[in-house]
Amino acid sequence: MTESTVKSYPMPVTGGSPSDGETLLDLRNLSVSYHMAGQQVRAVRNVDINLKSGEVVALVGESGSGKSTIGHALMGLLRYEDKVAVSGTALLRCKDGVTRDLFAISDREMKRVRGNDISIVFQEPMSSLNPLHSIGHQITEALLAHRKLRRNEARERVLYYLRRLGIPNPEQCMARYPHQLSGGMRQRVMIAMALCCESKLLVADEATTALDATVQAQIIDLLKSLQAETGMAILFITHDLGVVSEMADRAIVLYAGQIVETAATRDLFDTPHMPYTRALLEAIPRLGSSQMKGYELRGIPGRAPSAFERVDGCSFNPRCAYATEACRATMPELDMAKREHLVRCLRWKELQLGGCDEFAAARR
Amino acid sequence: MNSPLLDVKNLQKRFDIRRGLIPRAVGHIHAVQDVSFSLSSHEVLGIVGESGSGKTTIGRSVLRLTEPSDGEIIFNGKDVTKFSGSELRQYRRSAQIIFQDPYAALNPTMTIEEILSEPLIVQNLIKDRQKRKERVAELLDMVGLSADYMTRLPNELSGGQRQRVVIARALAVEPQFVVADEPVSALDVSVQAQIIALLRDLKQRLGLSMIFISHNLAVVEYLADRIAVVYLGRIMEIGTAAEVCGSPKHPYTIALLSAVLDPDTSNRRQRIILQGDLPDPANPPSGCVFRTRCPYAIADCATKVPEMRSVSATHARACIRDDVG
Repeated sequence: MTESTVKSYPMPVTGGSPSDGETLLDLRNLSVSYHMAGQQVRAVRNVDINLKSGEVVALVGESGSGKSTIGHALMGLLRYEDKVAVSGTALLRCKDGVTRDLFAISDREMKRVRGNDISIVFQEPMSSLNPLHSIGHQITEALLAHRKLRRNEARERVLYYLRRLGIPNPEQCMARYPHQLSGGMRQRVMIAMALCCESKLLVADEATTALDATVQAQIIDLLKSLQAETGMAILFITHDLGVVSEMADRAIVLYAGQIVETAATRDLFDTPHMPYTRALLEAIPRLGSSQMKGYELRGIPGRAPSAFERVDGCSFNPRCAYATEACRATMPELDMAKREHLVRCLRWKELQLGGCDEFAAARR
Repeated sequence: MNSPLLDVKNLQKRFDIRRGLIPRAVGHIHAVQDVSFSLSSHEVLGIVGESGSGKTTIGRSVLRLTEPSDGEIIFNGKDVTKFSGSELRQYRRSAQIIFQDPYAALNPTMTIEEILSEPLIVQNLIKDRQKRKERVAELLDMVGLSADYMTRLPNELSGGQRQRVVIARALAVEPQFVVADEPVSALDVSVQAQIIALLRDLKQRLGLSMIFISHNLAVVEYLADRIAVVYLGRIMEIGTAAEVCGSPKHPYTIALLSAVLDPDTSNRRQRIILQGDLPDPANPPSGCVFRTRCPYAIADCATKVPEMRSVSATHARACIRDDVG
């Protein structure tokens, strides 16, 4: 198998976000491999991500695509695992003005960066909170670990954020234990914990996935207004393209540990170039189908390769309707379809897939 | 429409809250309250609700996997709640379930052939081993898997393939209706669409009747002929898929529809953000259970539980206001 090298490309410029244009995070050539069952398993392959201050970028992929691994690598959570190898550079512009490579700094320095410059909201609010400590204790602990604050100052700030997140009666909430809160409340607490350190970069790892539709709508609204207010950058890890269209300025689509397409969100949905992105858009059940005649929901045949399996050529070729001999032989490189729009497909030019207008047309 | 295959009347399910050293019931949670609906043959009824709405309890009660506390479940003219012993076993042949999590629903030590043969053995349908094998191959083919899978163990299969096996197992005894409890929620988007397409195909090919339980309105709209929207154990609105999704008449349905995130921005509705969470089910609000989060609530909503009021012959909602929707 020939390994592709990712071309260097101009920094994508996004519209819509209050971005000051300054690069906050420059992740280059990230590869993560796990040592499992006597073999080397590559979970993430040569991923480049560039994030500006105030930008919301979505990392989209199905389970096993490596999206959470990227988030964990950025948080420095993989550095303690001796069976995991992380390579590449992650240059983060920290609050003190120094740019640090998150993969090169010491554990001690990482500890300082974590919480101060980069925070994470984990997926499972049930398992990420300690059931033995009160909510107040857990959030203030996180804050005191990273900030030189007096206990009552910390408490004030935590109360402020709990209130901002729409938690009724925050004083009472601080005294409660995780099991006494609903899923939505717990997720709010997790977000408050990540926000109270006021870091410039928030990694939201499936932050709304476990929630009910109406609660998810609440949390997304909240995150949007908080983002606009604080100007923090968010790396939004999700498998839900609906959430992507709601939240993100730009989206990066991952498949089998590689970036297969990246573009401004609107552009990605209107003119996807990679057959996988297009098929994924078609696979989403949408409202309005009962009013349409002859509309059929299409899945993608087969399944994504596990990290153990090696696919020659393009990793999507076994499931792709457009695959040719060439697709099975050579791994396509990331090609620039236009400024800010990169695609990993040999045939994108001749295919010119276009968006899923069938649905829109059928609806009319 | 044909006469109903299944007629559920005033279904109730209470779970006791037990406390103390010698546990005693100190109160109860009304998981299902006064739920009535019918299912015709060849029909798919979607039940939509958020977690804690009681939708799973409704499905399990209909199958008597959970004992209903009160109410009637009339199946082919007989009351299922009074069944016992052999009658219940007969009923189990007519009514099957597709579980949510295909990773938990298959015995990891049994081969696919054993898994699919078991209902045939339990129901004493095919005694001949060779014939049984043929039937298993037929079932696998029906859900789009090759006969090679017979010798495999569940852990060799992907989530989508496992869910196909779970569906094949439910259909092995040729049931008259199936309760599908969130059958696609645990799957990835691309695989989820495969399974939805399979269910739709089976519905058309076999004329399957189904109660399809899900929290995803878009999925339900695609699969179901009629939809019941449940909130805190009660039906808020019921009607055909086009009525409920196209011209909703209950504030909760409207809010639920607006919370569906569609990647197509032209398909966006005005988002209605509901305040707060689901109320404590052990201590539900008086009157209409939705009134604490309802943007249309008025004083009268607190006094009386709203009755189901008809909009059309097939469409009804439990809301006292006429100016909604």
